[in-house]
Amino acid sequence: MTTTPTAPQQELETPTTPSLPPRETSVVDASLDLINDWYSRAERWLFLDKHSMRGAAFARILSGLSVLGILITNFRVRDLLFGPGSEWNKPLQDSAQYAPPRLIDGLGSGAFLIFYCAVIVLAALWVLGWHVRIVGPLMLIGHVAIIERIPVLGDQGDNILRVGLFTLLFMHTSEFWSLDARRRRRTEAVDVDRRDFLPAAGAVLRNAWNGHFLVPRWLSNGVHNIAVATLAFQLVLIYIAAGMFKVQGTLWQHGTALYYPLQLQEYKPLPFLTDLFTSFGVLVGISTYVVVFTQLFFPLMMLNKITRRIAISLVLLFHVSIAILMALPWFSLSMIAFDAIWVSSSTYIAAERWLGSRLSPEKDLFWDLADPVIDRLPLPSHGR
Amino acid sequence: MQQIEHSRHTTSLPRPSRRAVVLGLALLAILHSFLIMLWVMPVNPIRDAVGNERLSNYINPYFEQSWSVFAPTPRRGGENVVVRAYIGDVKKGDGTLTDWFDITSNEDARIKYLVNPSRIHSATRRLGGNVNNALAAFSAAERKVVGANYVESSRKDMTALLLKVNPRGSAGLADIDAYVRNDEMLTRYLTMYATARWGDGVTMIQYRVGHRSVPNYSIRKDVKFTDVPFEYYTFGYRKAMPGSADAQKAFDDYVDEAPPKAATKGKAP
Repeated sequence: MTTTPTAPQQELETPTTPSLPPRETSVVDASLDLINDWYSRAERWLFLDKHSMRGAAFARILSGLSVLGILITNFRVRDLLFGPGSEWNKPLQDSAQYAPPRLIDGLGSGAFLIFYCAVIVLAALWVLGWHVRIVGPLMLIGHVAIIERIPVLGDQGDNILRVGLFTLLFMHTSEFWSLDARRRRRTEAVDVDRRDFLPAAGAVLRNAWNGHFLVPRWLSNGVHNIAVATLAFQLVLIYIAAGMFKVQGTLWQHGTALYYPLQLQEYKPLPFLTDLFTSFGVLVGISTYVVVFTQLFFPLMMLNKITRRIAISLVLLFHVSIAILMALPWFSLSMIAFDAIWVSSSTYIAAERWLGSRLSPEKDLFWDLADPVIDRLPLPSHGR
Repeated sequence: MQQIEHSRHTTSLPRPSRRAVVLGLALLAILHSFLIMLWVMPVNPIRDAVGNERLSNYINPYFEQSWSVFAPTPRRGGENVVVRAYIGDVKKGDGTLTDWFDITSNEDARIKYLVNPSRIHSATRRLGGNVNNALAAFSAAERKVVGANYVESSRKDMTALLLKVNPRGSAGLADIDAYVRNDEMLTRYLTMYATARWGDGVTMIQYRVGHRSVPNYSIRKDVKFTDVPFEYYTFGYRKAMPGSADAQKAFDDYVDEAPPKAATKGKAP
């Protein structure tokens, strides 16, 4: 290691300074060591294991519920919104940039009903974690095909759901709380004999179907962890951008901003509850400021365990309030789904233990009823 | 994020060539995140350096997002769309002109106490809001153009007239484009809606868009938003744009039929 040329000079010029011990590391050395240390920590984080697998699994479940919620809520008016009746939206359909909606362009009511129900089934399977590697992309394409038929009625909930689901596809979301995990536990990976092509291909397919390792761990860990970091950062971007736009506004600065949208008919499903809330000026003020500052300081609050829990609790409260007070349940659920990636595994484990101890009789009953049905399904995974 | 336990995915550091592959992917993810960051932040010099069009080409449509929701100024205006239709031959002028019907109020009644409303209920609100935004930017001459009837002449003629009187150059083009698109969507929507409500034979429709603002916070206990009257702008007649049989069926299932005698004899304009 070299020392900086200025170091000995400084020593000469300041004789009062006690002489440094020989081979003291310079600032540059220390910085390089630090960078080296960080780099190797980052590398170890990236390769050695998959992170936030419970967060990814929970995000899968909630995002699937959000897709289900949107599709079921609009089921009765599906033709008017997305199907043949959506041709009132033709100018935007003609200029749309999305490819998936073209899949259902020109479908009649009957064919569209089949497509719509198929996406509902895919979303349910995604929630249950059934072959997520196949179901996930199909559900996302189907969902975008339906929702983007009518961009004029879209909102930011559609955007975060699409972007978040896309990122989840790169993660390993079925390690926990999924049928895939259950099948994996009940089967064993088959050895792949590379000398014979056909048996080898069969073994690979079988392992893939049963959810055993297919891709080398270094690669799958790397891709999963990159996706986790990308989604976590996407959430940070949402909050910090939303916070930056809010601090520019005088109504947000004066703590009255929340009152205004809450008066609009479309955001006032329960007038008595909204009126009760807005009648307390202090409550309006505190809530407005809490929203602004939680969003603005979200990234900083993620750095410490305690502030992270505070921030996540606040955004959770904030989204539950939006869901109920503003009649935006699916936007809120999508946001909560992807916020889940920021919840630590220890919290999930604690929650799982607590719930597990309370719900074990119900769980036993469920599997007692479900197992005979699942075992009768003609699926290849069930013959070992 | 701390590691709680070793999972079955635990492995050792791979050899450098394999590390390089994943690091390459990580760099792509960082670049992607950086571009998203530029897109969602307020306009800034870094974004200008990248170039708005280049950025937009990457983001749109799949990564599109905007987080200036309710900010800097929260939404504080409500829009209403009111429609009437002419049923019968326009040239003969012996048809029927219906009463005005407030579609958005009808939607309001449908979503009351509903925490998970379908998004169809915001259709007229959204289209009316878009039309109103364009109208707010229009000059007096432009307002006169959209206030006129386009039954014999087409929407293209209306666009040509708007472009002719556009006083704001390229800035005005976006508003004209927005108005023309939303006018077409509204005309299609209202034609099918009117047919479902008043029966077949709709040859023209006319709409009014109302706007009202949430009263100031300081007087919130004295004036209720729902008591604030709408200020309406009435647009001219538009030639009906009927949809396919399937589309009309979807509207028939959704729209309440008008009670008998709601229509009165009227003269074609």
